[in-house]
Amino acid sequence: MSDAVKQEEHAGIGPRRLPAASICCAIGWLGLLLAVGLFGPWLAPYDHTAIDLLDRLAPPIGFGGSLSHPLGTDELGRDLLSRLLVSIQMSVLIACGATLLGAVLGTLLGFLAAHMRGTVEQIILALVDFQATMPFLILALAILAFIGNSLPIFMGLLALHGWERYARIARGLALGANAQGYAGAVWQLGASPVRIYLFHILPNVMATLIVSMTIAFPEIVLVESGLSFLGLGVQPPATSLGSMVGYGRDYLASAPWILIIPAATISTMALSVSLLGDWLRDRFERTGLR
Amino acid sequence: MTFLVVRLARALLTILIVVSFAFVVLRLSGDPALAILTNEAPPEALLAFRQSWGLDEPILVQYFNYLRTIFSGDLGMSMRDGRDAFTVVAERIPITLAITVPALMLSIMIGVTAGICAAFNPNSRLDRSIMLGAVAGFTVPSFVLGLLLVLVFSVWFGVLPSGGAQRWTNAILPIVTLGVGSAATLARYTRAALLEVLDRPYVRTASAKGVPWWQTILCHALPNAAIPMVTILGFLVGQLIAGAVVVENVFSWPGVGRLLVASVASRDLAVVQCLLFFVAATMIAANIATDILYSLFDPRLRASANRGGA
Amino acid sequence: MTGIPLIEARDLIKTYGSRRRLIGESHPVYAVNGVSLKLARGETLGLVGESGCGKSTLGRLILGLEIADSGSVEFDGSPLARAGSAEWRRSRARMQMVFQDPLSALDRLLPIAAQIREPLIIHKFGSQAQMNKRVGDLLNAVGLTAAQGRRLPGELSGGQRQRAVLARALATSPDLLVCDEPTSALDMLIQAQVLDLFAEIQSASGVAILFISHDLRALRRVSDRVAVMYLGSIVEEGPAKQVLEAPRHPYTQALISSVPGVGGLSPNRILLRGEPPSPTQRRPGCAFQPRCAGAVHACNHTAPTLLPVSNPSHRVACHLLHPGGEPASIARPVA
Repeated sequence: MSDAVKQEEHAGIGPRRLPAASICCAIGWLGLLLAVGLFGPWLAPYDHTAIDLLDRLAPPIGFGGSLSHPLGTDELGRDLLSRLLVSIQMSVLIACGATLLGAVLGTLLGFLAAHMRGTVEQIILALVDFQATMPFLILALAILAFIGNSLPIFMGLLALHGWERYARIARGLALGANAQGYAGAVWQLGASPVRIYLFHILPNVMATLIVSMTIAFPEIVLVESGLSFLGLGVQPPATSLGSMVGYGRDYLASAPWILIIPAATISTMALSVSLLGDWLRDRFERTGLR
Repeated sequence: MTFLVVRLARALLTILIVVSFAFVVLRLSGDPALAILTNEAPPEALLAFRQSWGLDEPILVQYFNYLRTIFSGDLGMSMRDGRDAFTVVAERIPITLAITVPALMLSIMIGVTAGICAAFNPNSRLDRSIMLGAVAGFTVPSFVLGLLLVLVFSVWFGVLPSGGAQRWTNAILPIVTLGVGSAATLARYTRAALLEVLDRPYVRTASAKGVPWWQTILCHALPNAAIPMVTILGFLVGQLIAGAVVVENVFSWPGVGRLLVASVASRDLAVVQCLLFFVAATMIAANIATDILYSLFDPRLRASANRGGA
Repeated sequence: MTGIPLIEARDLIKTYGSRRRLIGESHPVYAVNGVSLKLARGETLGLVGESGCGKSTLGRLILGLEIADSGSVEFDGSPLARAGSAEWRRSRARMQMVFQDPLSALDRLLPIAAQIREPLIIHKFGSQAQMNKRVGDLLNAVGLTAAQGRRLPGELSGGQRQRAVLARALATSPDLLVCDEPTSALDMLIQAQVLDLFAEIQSASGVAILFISHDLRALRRVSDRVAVMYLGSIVEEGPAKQVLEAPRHPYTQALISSVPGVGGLSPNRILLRGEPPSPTQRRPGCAFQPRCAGAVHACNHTAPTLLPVSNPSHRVACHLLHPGGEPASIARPVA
């Protein structure tokens, strides 16, 4: 059942080496997004909630727009460039935070399962199976419905996405290392479990975990933007790329740029991380780090 | 069939975890009586509810009572239209199937064809463009794709309706949107499975013997590549369900997904809970179907399962 | 060789249950079945037997890496602490293991000098400078250069890796070294060098070694005493020279006659019939009985015990050699 996902991860992505140019573009674009994520609000020319009813639905430069609003304005006359910068910050923050949290949680549980064995391991494996069986969006919606929404809850919720993959990888590799491998050897030297997992197993599984993170990151971006698009994610006055698309859909006919600009940002962000992940995987496979 | 018994046991375990999950989040949401019956319910109804659910008892007793209630088929009432939550969900299911089943077929047609074309010309321009398209299909969110299709076909050309469910033409855009996302996954997967099989000694032996290439592919490569591809079925079903939630809202298609989002927005918990169980049951059924298909395709699995337990 | 032995194992039994069967009964596998042995300080005991006879398990039991189902192991007069406990971890400074596959026993991401240093850090050897000096001495002692110490395991040859593993095992000057087929992953020439290194290390440091191998020539090179294992039990044990040159147990005789000499296989070597019986199906009597050419009636129902023959330190478990059995008849070659 859950093997499908795993095998897709392992086999589904083309083993070819991608041209270096696309990788450079992807890294450059991600760097830019990260910079915006760090400094976005200070770069924004306007406050992202400032309303200017006299200048509503202004088109971007090149489509009859003016320099005062380079990307145009929305239905309330809010500057789209400022909103985009703030939204990128929100989306990058949520996606990075959730990816990291998920990786830490999953790896910890995987190591715990490998170390404790027995009942603890069976419980963790049952949870892994459950998580892999259920589509994440449905679980997320159920939790939002029952518990309600706030930014910390939302981020913690997204961190639950994909933890089972890290757990599975971490457990599998730790078991292998413990059985006859280097971890078993260090164990019989008298090393404490913390030392074994932190100094030996973790560095050895890091490459695989990083590749998994590049798979999880775009998925989290998509889930976040999807929920925000449905109006169930980031709540106003905060804004994310998904909620910008959600507001833009009402002006699809009259002002399509409101929708196209954040939509293009989401897609290129997810695409860049995917390309980067493929490339990293190729490199790790070649250097035998996996 | 020992392995089927094992799979069924695992399915039961998953159901139990789903129900427990619902119990835990219901507990975290505050007073379940208020949550399920809402604030407007009369006090005596709340009291009766608390007693019938045994909310004054220890948590473990409550848990077992909850399990008993759920497994006896009592899923509560929808607070929005006052009917049985199960009925509310059940009448939406065929509407969702009307777009997900064609979308699945569409994605298999596009995805498998594209994957085969890519695998037979590895590293060609065709392969590269198909794979780039697959990566794009995977990373463009379905709501963006759906809205772009609306922009092109409804706003600019005006040939297809942008939403609603009045005629069969309304279903075209949702089906295409849903199908493209899954097709991207399937294309990558098919290509990888075929490339691996094409490199196996028995396929190379067949070509070396002078067997025509189409016969090599038909008799040797495809059947063996189909074995790993079957395993992706469960994953595809999950992807379609999640996709349907978003796509139905983009196109105002009145199916299960739209009901879910509306119920979450209005915190109609009985319906959300019922939908959660429905999705879990679908996924478990899909996974069992995958296992059965897998054993039909791969006799080795049957043999080893009969020998070794799982 | 006086006073309490370094290691004294009594009646060790270790079974592995066939796990996770929903249907059908499980047959435990008797990996080690009632083994007692002693090892004196500075002594090398060679443990030989075919694959799957339980010799590696016995080594792990003696080190306390696994817990026996019954029986006891005493190290230097006191019982071993539970595996994984703090006391057990401290005791690792005195007993170490050398593995069959050095590549998988080393962390691929760390230079070997850092790995040799690791037991020193764990067991709080001393200051940084002291540890640096110790690592340098150890590298030197196993014949590696400081430059090789800065390399990763993947950048070294198999023999060099095994030297690194040995250096790591010797770092805390242990009293006991258990070597589990330390040379079987190496090619012939390197094997000889590494075996010489073992002999050299032992004479220099006085460490006791339990040398597990299926390679009789390797054993002959390093062992003071030799114990022969068959299906979880020791069938013959004694001074290396006696056991290897004048074996008494029919299994040992077959084992030794199978080793090719310079002129190839001996023409009158003893061929054993059949496979070793499955360790899951235990039967009363001698485990070797189904394959033994000289089996007598007693072999069917009574398990023989280790008893001295001729020399008190040479003991054999065989009904053919002891009162109650028939006169010692050497197993005949089977054509």
